[in-house]
Amino acid sequence: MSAVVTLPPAFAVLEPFAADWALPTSDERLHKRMNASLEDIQAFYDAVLPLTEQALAHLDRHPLDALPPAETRLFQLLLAAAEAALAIEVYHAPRLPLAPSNSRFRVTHTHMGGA
Amino acid sequence: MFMRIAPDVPDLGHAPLPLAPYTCDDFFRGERDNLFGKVWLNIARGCELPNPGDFVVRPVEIRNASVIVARGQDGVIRAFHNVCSHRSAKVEWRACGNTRLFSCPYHAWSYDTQGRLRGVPGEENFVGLDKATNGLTPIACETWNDLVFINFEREPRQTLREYLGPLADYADNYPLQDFDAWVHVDVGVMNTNWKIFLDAFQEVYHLNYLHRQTLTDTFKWRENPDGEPAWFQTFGPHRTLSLGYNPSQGGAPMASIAQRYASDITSTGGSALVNARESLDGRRTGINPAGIDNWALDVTTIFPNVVWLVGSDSAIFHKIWPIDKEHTRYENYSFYRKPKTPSERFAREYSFGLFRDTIVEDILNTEFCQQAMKAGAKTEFHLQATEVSVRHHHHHIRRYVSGEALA
Repeated sequence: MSAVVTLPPAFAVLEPFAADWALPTSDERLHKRMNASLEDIQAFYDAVLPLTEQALAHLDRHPLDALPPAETRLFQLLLAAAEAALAIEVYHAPRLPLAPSNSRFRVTHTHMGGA
Repeated sequence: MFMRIAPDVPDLGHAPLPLAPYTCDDFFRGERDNLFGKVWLNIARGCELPNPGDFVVRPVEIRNASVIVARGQDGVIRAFHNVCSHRSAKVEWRACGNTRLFSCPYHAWSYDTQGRLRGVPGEENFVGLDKATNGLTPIACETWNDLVFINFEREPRQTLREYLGPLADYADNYPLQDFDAWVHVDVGVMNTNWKIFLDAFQEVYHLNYLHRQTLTDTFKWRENPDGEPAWFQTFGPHRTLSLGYNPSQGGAPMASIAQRYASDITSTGGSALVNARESLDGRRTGINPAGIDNWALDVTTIFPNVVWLVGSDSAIFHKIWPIDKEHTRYENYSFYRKPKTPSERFAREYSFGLFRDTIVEDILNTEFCQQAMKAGAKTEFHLQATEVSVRHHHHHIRRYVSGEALA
């Protein structure tokens, strides 16, 4: 029986967001952002931002290519927060008005390490 | 005008240019035969093929070609037509991998990674088959600064070094070999002429307008309110535009955290950018040709179809492959030093996301341009002084299509 993976205890407060946002690929995180409401993105961003530096410091104690399962979940959540930050800080919208459907392009991240 | 132009750049005039090269069948045939059939084309990076037996298979639609690029067991990178010597079947169907033999699925003829024909099932039934002269058909292949180029002429009239000319001298020491981690964006087939799309990546006039929600205030500042490039320079048919960043752009909270751990072309400050720049300055590395203090990146076009965003710790390649006169395949690669920590990887995710969202803003716009050109409302187009890069591009394409550049 495999255990359910949760965030590291210090970041348990973010657990309500993890099920939706801790996604393994860049494309999935982008699609989540593009299809979320600005209010939902704002709530996620507001929750993660104050913990971001602490979370990065926690993750940096592990090698990028050997994150334990709980840390992998936290890392994916932070990568999704980077997407959310673009919507909140830069675009002020979940998606850009001139952007085509996210089915028009595909991102491969396989050579960057980590998630 | 804020932009300065290198003194040796030829005067290309200011007249409007014809739209016909975007829509004309004859012009496209000229590009196919006299340009893409004659010049060196960047097909891969050496870092994609680190080990003997590593290969990639890449289409070059305008030449109807499928190209195998492989590092042989002898360590040499070669390119071949992906065509079986038996009855012209496609030999390798995977996009990349590592192998000792390429085996044709049709009748299992097999070739080694140096292109030699090794195995022919039922060989005794072939009369007079000379295996030694029936390997994979080679394509001329040379490497500069870890960039692998091919040339479809059987005997290219220039070496790659001669073709790149002063651009190679200028950027020889750019540390591309250190940037061996990458993100690849595959946009696939676009409904636009290849030049419309490439033009969009080699002028910065549109950044403040089309990209006003993504690159707001990024490349303009008090002395440069219109966000012009700082410098334009040519290297034969190749060229570069150099851009500065806005030194007083305030960083939003998450952006500021990200820029502490890694910079990118959209970074406008942060300790990572400063550190990366200092490691490159003064080494003839092909960056910052005007020597400006707030240098951000250079937009360097490797003629004819690659736009290289030259950053201090990233190198992004827009690769724009014509299919026919109104279809283009577009992909880009963002190359970085391999992130050492989760925080550095996080910072890349942030800056890459902004870059990705910016470039996809160009997709629908350029597709509409193509449709509009076909409607025939206009017969010519206008270029302002800082769009000289587009003018220079069209000038050199015309020189190839007319045959003048080949004489």
